[in-house]
Amino acid sequence: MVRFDNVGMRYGSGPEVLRDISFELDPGSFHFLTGASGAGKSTLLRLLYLAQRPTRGLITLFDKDLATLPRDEFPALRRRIGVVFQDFRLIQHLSALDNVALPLKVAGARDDQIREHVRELLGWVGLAEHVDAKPATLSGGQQQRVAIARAVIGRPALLLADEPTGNVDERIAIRLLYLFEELNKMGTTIVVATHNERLISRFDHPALHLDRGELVVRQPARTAAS
Amino acid sequence: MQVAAVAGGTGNLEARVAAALDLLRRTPGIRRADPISAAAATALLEPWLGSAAALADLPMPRLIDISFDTHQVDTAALGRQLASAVPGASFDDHRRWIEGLAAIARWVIMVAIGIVLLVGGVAALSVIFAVRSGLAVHREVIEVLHLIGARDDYIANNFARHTLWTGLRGGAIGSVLALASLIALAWLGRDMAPGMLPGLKLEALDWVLLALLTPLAAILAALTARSTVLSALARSRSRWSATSRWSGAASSTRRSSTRSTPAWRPAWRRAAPRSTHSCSRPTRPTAQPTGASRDPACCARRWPDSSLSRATP
Repeated sequence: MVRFDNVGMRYGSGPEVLRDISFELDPGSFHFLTGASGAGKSTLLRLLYLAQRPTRGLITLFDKDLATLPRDEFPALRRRIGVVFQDFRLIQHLSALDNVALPLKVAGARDDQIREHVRELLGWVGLAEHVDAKPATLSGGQQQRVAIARAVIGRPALLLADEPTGNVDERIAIRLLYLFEELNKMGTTIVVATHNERLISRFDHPALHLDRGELVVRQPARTAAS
Repeated sequence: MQVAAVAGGTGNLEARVAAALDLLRRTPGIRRADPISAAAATALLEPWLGSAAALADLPMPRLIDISFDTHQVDTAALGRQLASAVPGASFDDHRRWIEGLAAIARWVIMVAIGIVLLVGGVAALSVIFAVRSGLAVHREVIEVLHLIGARDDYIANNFARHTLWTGLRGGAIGSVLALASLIALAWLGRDMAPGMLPGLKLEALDWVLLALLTPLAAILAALTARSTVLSALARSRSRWSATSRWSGAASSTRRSSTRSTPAWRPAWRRAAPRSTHSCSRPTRPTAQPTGASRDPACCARRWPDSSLSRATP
């Protein structure tokens, strides 16, 4: 599914923010991505959702080597990746329905199909009564659910969430992770970046821990104990 | 040509006219030579000199209307020949001032075409700058679109569609104002020198061309917008490539073959049945069933039973 081989990343002529990162994610796996602020979590995610390319090393995504992949094949690859951005990145002048529908429109779906499926999904995330609401009129938690719905509407093979629990209270954060687990059971590979160690300890999933640009894989506490 | 009645003339006027006609009709290249009757000549002068009764006392020349082949007739020689053969006769070649007027008309047409091209160029430049501003304003939206898999042509087509509708709306307003201006000009000029200036009258083809002007301009603006967006995104792709960014890189106007397996397909309908395993042990998806029912109850079963709003730890 995802393979990093000695990947390094630096911005401009600055220091390397990621150094010799090597790991592999199996299809259907669930990983946390942890690390202190500035450890490189967001950069790693940006590499994963093809917003950035590494300064060195090889990335293989869906069995395709990104270094040699023609640029015009990137959009098709991106459609297989759902991203929940830390700041949601909802389009403010569009309604919740239109925001969630964007990936389908981009993929060329018909309007009647889009409306049916998007309404269904918005109902599923508890926003059935807010389909026509603009993001600015929604609460942070509701905006987050719109962002999640947009990320999963195309049933991505890989779902990346950058600090999805950063703007919500503990109760909502746990609900959110249960939701990701449900999606994971449906076959989606999931990577959730967070620095909330207490939250991570409640779930039995391995963590990719970044420490000053270097990666360590941590097994969940319960698995390690057994 | 004209044959003067008195000045320099001798003998009977009708006889001199007949002599002139005889000479003209024998000249090679003269296709037609018809005398204009005194009544018709008087009618021609009436607008400037008054009624026919007043003109009756004036020594009116006789006019002969001639058509000839310009390549075969030397008008200067013909004029000299007429003057010597028919006393009082003079040859007036209208081509000199008609050619002058035609040259002026041609220049007016050229200037008009130049103005149309200038206006079109300015309109295209306006569209280019407006679209570039739009790209700058919507930079974050465009980045999000790229990250969810939009191609450059999807973004460009959206800009083009918006520009097309804006152009049609603006063109419709402009057409109404132009029509009002034409009607006002026609109304203001209704009493101005009738007979000297051609009337302002549009034929059916003119109306069709005017009606097509707005959609054609809107289409031109839309194509300009599309081309501007595509070239701007291509340029930013080069810049991003140089700075190791991929956001705008994966763009092409070419459709990918992956369109045959549309990602928009309600994939959760095709999802594997919910696993009965523990949450902590993710399972890989099994073969995805096809032809799922659109029954809402069925759809609800496709999604996990616990939604975000209902899920409890």
